[in-house]
Amino acid sequence: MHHADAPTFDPEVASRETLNSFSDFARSITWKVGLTGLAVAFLASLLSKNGQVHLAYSYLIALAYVVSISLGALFFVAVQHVTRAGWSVTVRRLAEILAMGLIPVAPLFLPLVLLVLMGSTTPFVWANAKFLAEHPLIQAKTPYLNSIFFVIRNVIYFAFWAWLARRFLTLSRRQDVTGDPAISNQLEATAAPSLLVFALTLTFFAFDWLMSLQPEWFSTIFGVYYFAGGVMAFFATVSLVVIQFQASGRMQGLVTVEHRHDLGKFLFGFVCFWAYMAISQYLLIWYANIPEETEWFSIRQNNGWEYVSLLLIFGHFVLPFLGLMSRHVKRNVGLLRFWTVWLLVMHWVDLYWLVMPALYRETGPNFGVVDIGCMVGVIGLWLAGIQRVAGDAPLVPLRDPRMHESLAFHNI
Amino acid sequence: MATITTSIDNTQETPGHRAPLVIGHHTYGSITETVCRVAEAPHPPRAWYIAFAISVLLVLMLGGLITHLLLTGVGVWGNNSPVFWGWPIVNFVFWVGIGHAGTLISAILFLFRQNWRTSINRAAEAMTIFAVVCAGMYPGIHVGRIWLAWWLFPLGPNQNALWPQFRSPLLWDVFAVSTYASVSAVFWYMGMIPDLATFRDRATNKIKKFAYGALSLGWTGSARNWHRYERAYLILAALATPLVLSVHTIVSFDFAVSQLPGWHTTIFPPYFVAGAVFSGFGMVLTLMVPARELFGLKDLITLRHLENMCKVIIATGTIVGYAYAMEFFIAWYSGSRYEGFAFINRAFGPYWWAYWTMVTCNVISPQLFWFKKMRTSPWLMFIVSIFVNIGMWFERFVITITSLSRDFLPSSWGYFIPTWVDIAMFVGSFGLFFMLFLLFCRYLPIVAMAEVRGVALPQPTDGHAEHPASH
Amino acid sequence: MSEHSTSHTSSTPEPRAAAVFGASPARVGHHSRDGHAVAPAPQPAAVFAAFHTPAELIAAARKTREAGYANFDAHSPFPVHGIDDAIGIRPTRLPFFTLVAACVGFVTALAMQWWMNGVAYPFLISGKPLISIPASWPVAFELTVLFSAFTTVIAMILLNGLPRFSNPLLSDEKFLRSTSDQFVLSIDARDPKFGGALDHLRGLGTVPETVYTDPGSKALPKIIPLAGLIIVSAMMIPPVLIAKARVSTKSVPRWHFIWDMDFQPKFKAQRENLLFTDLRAMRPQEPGTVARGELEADDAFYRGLKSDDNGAVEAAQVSRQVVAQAQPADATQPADGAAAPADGAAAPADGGPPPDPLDKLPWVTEFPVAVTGQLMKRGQERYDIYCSTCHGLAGDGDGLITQRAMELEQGTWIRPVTYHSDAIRNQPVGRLFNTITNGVRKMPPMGDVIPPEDRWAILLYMRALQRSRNATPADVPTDVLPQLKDVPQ
Repeated sequence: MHHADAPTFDPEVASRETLNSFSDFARSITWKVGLTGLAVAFLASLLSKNGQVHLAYSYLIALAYVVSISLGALFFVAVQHVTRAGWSVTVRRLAEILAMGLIPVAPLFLPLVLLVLMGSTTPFVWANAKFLAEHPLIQAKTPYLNSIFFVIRNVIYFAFWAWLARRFLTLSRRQDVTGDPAISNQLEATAAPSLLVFALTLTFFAFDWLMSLQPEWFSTIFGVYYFAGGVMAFFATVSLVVIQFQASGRMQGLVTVEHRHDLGKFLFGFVCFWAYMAISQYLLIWYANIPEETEWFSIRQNNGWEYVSLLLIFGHFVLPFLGLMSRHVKRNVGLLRFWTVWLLVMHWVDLYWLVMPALYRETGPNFGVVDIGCMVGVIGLWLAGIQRVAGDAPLVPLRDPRMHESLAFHNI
Repeated sequence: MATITTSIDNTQETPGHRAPLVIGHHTYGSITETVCRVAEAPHPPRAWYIAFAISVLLVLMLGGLITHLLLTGVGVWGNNSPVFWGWPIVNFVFWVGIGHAGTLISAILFLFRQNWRTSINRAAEAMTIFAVVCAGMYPGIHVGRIWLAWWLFPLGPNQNALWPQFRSPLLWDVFAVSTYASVSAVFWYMGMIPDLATFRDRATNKIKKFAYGALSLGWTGSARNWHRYERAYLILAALATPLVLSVHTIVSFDFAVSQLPGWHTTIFPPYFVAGAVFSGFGMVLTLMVPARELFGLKDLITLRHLENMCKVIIATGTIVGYAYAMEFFIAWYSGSRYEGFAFINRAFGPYWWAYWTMVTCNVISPQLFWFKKMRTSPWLMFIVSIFVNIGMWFERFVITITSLSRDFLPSSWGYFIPTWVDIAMFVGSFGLFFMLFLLFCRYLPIVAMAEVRGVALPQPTDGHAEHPASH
Repeated sequence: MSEHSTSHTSSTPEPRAAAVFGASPARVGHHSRDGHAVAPAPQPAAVFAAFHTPAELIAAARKTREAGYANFDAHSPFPVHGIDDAIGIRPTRLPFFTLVAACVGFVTALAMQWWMNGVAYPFLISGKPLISIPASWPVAFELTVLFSAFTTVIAMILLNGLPRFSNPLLSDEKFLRSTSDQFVLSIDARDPKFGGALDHLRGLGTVPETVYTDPGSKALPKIIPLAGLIIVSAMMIPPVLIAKARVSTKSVPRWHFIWDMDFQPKFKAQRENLLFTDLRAMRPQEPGTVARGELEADDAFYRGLKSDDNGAVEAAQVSRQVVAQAQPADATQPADGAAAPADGAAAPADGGPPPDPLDKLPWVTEFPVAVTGQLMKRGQERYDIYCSTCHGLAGDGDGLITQRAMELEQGTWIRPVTYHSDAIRNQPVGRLFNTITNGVRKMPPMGDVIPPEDRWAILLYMRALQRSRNATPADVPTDVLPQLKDVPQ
C-alpha cells in the first residue's frame, strides 16, 4: 500500500521545473504588481493629512512581514540540516528559495533607514534629538538606540542572512549536480553554529524595528514572539506554495499528502507556539502590573484596539487551533489551503497590532488603501526579487542523498 | 545471546544511509534476552548493592530530617528574612526541571519520529517520575503542618468554607506538578504494559508471575489491542507535549508574575523550559552512562544515543545562554535601575561565585560538545553532565537567592546561609532518587523492548517504508 | 471488550479459571491430558500458529481473512504495521473519548474556578478581578490534559477488553513467545468456521497448536478474599479511630507532639503582660486617636442626638460626657452625683422624680435611617434574639428570665418597665437609642453587642409594639380586619 504511491523520481525531469519555467506573464506580473502597489500606497497617502506617517508605519509592517517569512524559511532549512531530516527533502528547496528573499528585501529598507538618519520621529521617535532631549528615560538608551549603531547592526543582520541563505542554496545546488553526500555534512556543519547567530540577529532585528517603536517599553521574550509568528507564517506560505504549484501541475508526485500533513502539523504546532509566547508575555505583564510595562498592553486594549486584540486571540489561535487539530484537515488540500491563507492574513494582523498602536495610541485602528498598497507592493517586489536571485533553481533538490527517504515518506 | 562484541561506530553516518540504532546483530529474541537479563539475573551487580545501600542510608537520613523538621518547624532551614524562599524552593525547581527529560523524550521526540529515543525513553520516564517525587516532597514539607497540605487542593466536604485561591501561581503549580506527575506515571505505565507481559511470560517463580501478570493486565499483543494502544500512545504524546512545556512554564510563573527585579521578565517561561530540558538530559546522561556499562546495554544504548543526547544538551544549554544574555541586555535597556542593579549584583555582588559557577557549567561546559571527541567519549560526557547538573542547581540558587537577598530596600538586605538541615536534606533527596531508580532497574523493564523491536531494529523481511535502508 | 463479554455466553459450557496470572502451562496441560476426575473435559478454546517475521504474519492474516474467518487475531511482540488492513481492523473510537474528556475537563476547571473564587469564597487578591480569565487558563489547561490523558488510557484498556486475567492462549508455552520474538495468528473457537481452522493453519505451512479452556475450579484462590478482608479491615482503622476521637471526651490534657507550635512565645488577648504597667497584653486605644473607620461623626445615627441643634461638636461632646458619667452610676441617680440623694433608692415620693440630665439633651425624634419593611423584619428578629428574654415578646417586661427571677424572689432583680407606659411611649427615639446603647438601671449596655443599624431596627419594632396597644381599627388593613376578634364593631 505504501509502495504504490512512492513515485519514480527523475532528476532530469525535475531539473526543468524552476521559477523561471513559469510563463512570461507570471514572471513579469510580480514586478508590475509590486511597483503599482507601492505607487498606489504613496498616492493614497497624499490624500490624508497624516498620510505619509501612516505610510512609513504601514511600509514597515509589510517589510517585517516578508522578512519574517524568509527568516522562518532560513530557520527551517538550518534545522533540517542539523537534524539530518529525511522527510522534508522535497520541500526543502522551496524554503531555500524563500530564504533568498532576504537579499532583495534588504534595499527596500533604505527609505526607512534614511528617515532614521535624518532624525525623523517617524517611525522611530528615538532617532529625533529634540524628542530625546525631552525624554531622559529614552535618552539613557542612546548607547544602543542611535542611528549609526542602528545602521551598523542592520548591515550585519542582512549580511549574515544573505550569506547564510546563499550558502544553503549554493551548496544544495552544487549537490544537484554532483550528488556528493559530503555536501550534506558541510551544510550540517554550517547550520549548527549559524543557528546561534541567527537567533541573536533575529532577536535584535525584532528589537530594533518593532520593539523600539515604543522605546520606553521592553520585553525579553519579544524576539521569540516575532520568531514564532514568522515561522508560523513560513509554514503557511510553504504549504500554500506547494498546494498552488501542484494545482498548476508542478512538483507532481514529489510532495505527497504525507508531506502536506507534516507541514500542517508544523503549522498547527507553531500556531500553538505563537500562542504560548503571546500568553507568556501578556500574563506576566498583566499579573505584575508594573506601569511601564502595562502601558504597552493598555494602548492595545483601548480605543478600538481591543477588537484587534480579540481578533488575534480568536483568529490567530482559537479558531486555527480547533480547525487544524484534525488529521483530516491537514490531509485535505482545500481545507489546508483555507487555513494557510487565513493564517497569513492573521500574521499581518499580528504585525499590524505590534506596529500601528505606536502611532494611533488614542485614535484606534486606522486601515485603508495605504496598507493594502504597501502589502501588495512589498510582497510583489519580494517575490520578484526571489525570482531574480533564485529563479533558475530547480524546485526540489535533485540529488540529495536523503531524497529516497523523502519520496517514500509515510506518516505513522 | 548477543553480547557486546562489536565495535561498530554508529556515530558516523553517511548521508542517505542511516546508521543502525542498535548494534551487535540483534534479533527480536536477543533484545528480549538483553533487557530481561537485567531483571532476571539471580543477583544484580555488586555496584548495584553498594549504590542501593548508600541510597537507603540517605533515605533513612532524609526521613529522620523530615521528622525533625515537622517536630521543630521550618525554622530548622536557613530560610529567614529577607530570603524566605531558600533551598527548599531551589531544590524543588531543580528536581522538577530534571523531571522534564523523560516526557520530552517519550512525547516530543516521538512526535518528531526520533526513533533513537526508544532505547532510552523508559529509563528517562522512570527518572522523570522519581525526580518529580523528590520535587513534590519539598512544597509538601515546606507548608510545615504537612497534615494540612490537602488544603492546597479543592477538596470537599469543605468544613472551613474556604477554597483555594486560583489566582495564585503557587496554586497553578500544585495543579501543574500533580497533573504532570500523574500523567507521566500513567504514560510510563502504559508504555510498560507490553514489556511487563514479556516479563510475565518469562517469569519462573510464582510471585513474579503473579506480580507481572497483574501489572500487565492480561496483555497478549493482539493486533486489535496494538491498534488502540498505538493510537492512545500518539494521543498521550500529543497531550504530554504541551503538558511538559506547561509545567516549567508555570514554575517560572511562581517567580515571574512578581515584581521582584531579576524575577519579573517575560522570557522566563521558555527559558525555564529550555533549562529544564537541559538539566533533564544532563541527568539522563549521568544515569545512562553508568547504567549501560553496569547492565550490559551498550548494544541498545549506543554511542549514537549518547551523542544525540549531547546534541540536545548543547542546543538547550545555548538557549539558556541566550536567555541569560537577553535578561542582561533588557535589564540595561529597560532603564529600570532596580532591574539593572539586580543583574550587576548577580555577577559582581556577594553571590558572584554562584553566578559564575552557573555560567561556567551551563553555558560554557556544554560548548565542549561541539567537539565530536567529547560527544563520543562516555566518561568525558559523564563529567560534563555532572557539571550540567551542578550548573542548573546553581541557576535556581542564583535566581532565588540573589533577587531575594537584595531587593528594593537596602536596609532589608541580607545574606543567605543554609543550615546543615538544608544541605543534608538535599543530599537525602538524591538518596531517594537513586533508591527508586535502582529499584526500577532491578524489577522493571529498563528498556522499552517492544518499541526497540518495532522501530530500532532493521526489519529486512518487513520492508516497511520507514526503513530507508531497505529501498 | 466484546470478546470478553461474549465468552460467558459462548457454546462452551465449561467454566474457566477465574484468575490465571500468567502462564501455567504444565498445570493446565497436565489437567487436560489425564482428564481430572472432578473437572469436566476441556473444550478447545482456540488454535494458533507461530511465524517468524511480521511479513509472514501479515500474509497469513490476509489469507485467513480471505478464507472467511472473522474471529481471529494476530499477536506480535510489537505493533506490526500493515496488519490492520490485513485483518480488517476498523479505526478505533478512542480519539472521540479523548475529545469528550478534554471538553469536560476544560469546562469543569472553568466552572470550578468561577464558583469557588467568584461565588462561594470571593476573596480579593492583588487587585485582580474575582473571576479573571488570564489567571484561570493554567488550571483550565492542566485539568483538560489531566482528564483527557486518564480517559485515553482507561478507555484504551477497557476497549481492549483488559484487564483480563484468564486467557486460554496464555496457558500454552509456545504462545508465550509472542511477547518476545514470535508472531502468532490465533483463531477463536467461537468462529463459525472453527472446524476447519487447524487445516487452514496447516495449509499456511505451519504446525498449529490447540489450547483448551481451563477445566479448573471457578472459585477464587483463597488468598484473594483473605487479602481483601485484611486490606479492608486495615483501611477501616483510621476512620474508626477518628470517629472515636470525635465522640469521646477526656479529662486529661491532649498530647502535644509539637511543643513549640502548641506553646508559642507570644502574648494572647486577655492575658497578662509584664511589659506594661497595667499588665494587660491587649492594649487599649491611644487617647486622642480614632481607629480607621471608627470616627462615627454622625451623631444622629450613632448616638441618637440632633447635632444641628447646638452644633455637631458640642452635641457630640455632651453625649460623650453623658455616656462617661452614666456608665458607672445607676441611672436612677442624677448624673451630677453631688446633688443626688445619698441612698440612691427609689425616687422621693413628694417631689416627683428628680430632674434627669438626659431629658435636656437634644434627642432625635425621627429615625435617622430609612424606615422600610425590611428594617422592621430585621428589628423583629433582633428584638426576639436580644430583648425578648427579659422584656417579653410583646414588650410587657415579662420575658422568661424575668419570670424566673420573680419566682426566685431574691430581690436583686429589677423588673424591666413595660414599653406601653406613657413615659416610655413619649420618650424620643434618640433617648431610647441611648438606653439600648448604654443601658439603664440593671439593663446592661448593648452597644458593643448590637451594631447601630440593628439598634435602630429594634427601635422601629419596639415602636410597632407600642403602636399595637394603641391602635384603632382604622390602623388595621381592611383585608385582615375580619380576622381580629375583639374589635369593637
